Amino acid sequence: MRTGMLAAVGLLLAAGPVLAAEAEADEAIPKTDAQFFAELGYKPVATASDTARALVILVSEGKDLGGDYDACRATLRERGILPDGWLDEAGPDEATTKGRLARLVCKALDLEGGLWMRLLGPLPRLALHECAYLDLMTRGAVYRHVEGGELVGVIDRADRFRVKGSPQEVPKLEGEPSGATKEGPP
Amino acid sequence: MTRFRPWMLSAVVLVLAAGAWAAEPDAAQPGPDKPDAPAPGDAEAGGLAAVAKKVEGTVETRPAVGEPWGPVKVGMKLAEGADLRTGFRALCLLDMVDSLVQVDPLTVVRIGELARRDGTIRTRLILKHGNTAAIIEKERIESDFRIVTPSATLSVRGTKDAWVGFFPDTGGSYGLGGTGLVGVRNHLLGKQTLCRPGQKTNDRIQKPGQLLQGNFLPVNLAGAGLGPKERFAAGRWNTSNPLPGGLQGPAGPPNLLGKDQGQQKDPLLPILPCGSDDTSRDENGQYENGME
Repeated sequence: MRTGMLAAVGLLLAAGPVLAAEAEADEAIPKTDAQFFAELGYKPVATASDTARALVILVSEGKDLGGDYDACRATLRERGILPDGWLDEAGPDEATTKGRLARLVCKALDLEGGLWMRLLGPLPRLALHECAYLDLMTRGAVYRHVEGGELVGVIDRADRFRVKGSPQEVPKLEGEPSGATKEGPP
Repeated sequence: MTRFRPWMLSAVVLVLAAGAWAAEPDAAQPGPDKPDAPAPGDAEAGGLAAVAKKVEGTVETRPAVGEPWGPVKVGMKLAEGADLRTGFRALCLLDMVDSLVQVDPLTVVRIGELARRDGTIRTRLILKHGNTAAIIEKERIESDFRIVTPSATLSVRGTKDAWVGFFPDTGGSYGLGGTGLVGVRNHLLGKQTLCRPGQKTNDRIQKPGQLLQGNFLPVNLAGAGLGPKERFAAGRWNTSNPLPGGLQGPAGPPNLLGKDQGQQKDPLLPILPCGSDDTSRDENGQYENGME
């Protein structure tokens, strides 16, 4: 009986590192939005999975940090951003292009565009023109891959545009550094 | 021959379990959530340190490359070499003795230098991407304050509300909202531009030919699928575009110096000249195809 108990305790102890390894594997998925965007900035190409998660954070105004790829797509579908003809069917590792991203940004921000976009809808080329006109994206070929840092910049400018009406805003700071006061550090 | 006994099985299982725990590498490593671990980014005693005066949203820091990231709290001290990253609609206000720096959302910044030398406080903020703004005190203290982006350096000559923004697609934007004067020195040209109150500038340099290439040439030439000569040509003509991460070879993406204005993709790797690739060199440092 005692030997059986000892064996059970030993098995439980042996399972500890295995469970810890699984927890480490989960840590590969960014836990915070700061981690997600910082790591995205180092990626040479933004994948469909990255784009879906970044858009979920954008449309939820930071309240929903997104889960896996399917969960992000479900959230975007609920908010009417899908189907867009691409992200609905794309694999998670598929590269995002400028035209596809522009179309998603136009849908996320409810941009109406000019005459042709109102008539024909947010086609990739028209959407990219509209985003470039509003300084949300840079001009380029619609089939060009989007870099990770570029996607971070687009999300930053899109949120500034939505909140303040302009992607470029001169910040106003108030206060003084501690060195400027007599009582401050040397 | 010795008979197998049940207690032997228990002993073997216990020995294996103990070995597995001993082999666990991170078990003894201090983490940000452990109460006994030192707070990440804390300054060493005696040195200058930036103090977080205001924190909104998700703001994280690490004391050095390779260290774990941890949350920033109000009053936390960040020493030289600390990295800071902010999340969506997050914000951090840093008191850096000679300056007050606001780190805006979606920004990654490193305190490259923060030290007093010969009576002057020398500050270097290295901005990977994102936006920052600063108030710099020049009247009461000698200050040498600069914000370095991958493409230019903003140096301050006594000012209020100097701001810098950098993203790989748009390049750097620099300006001055308040009083004073700032200088922006472009890393590629070495030319300096002065900004007076209300003025702004940027470091976008694109030849007409490059603009046409970006708009019309096919750019899906992945570095991993090219030979050394083709890789050199792709780098020179700036037409290469990397494959998604899962499809890249061990060489990684090609260096797109010029297109992304020299932004370093991996902080652990050196910046290579345009189109070069370490894997194409032999042990003597010569290129395999004989190119110089």
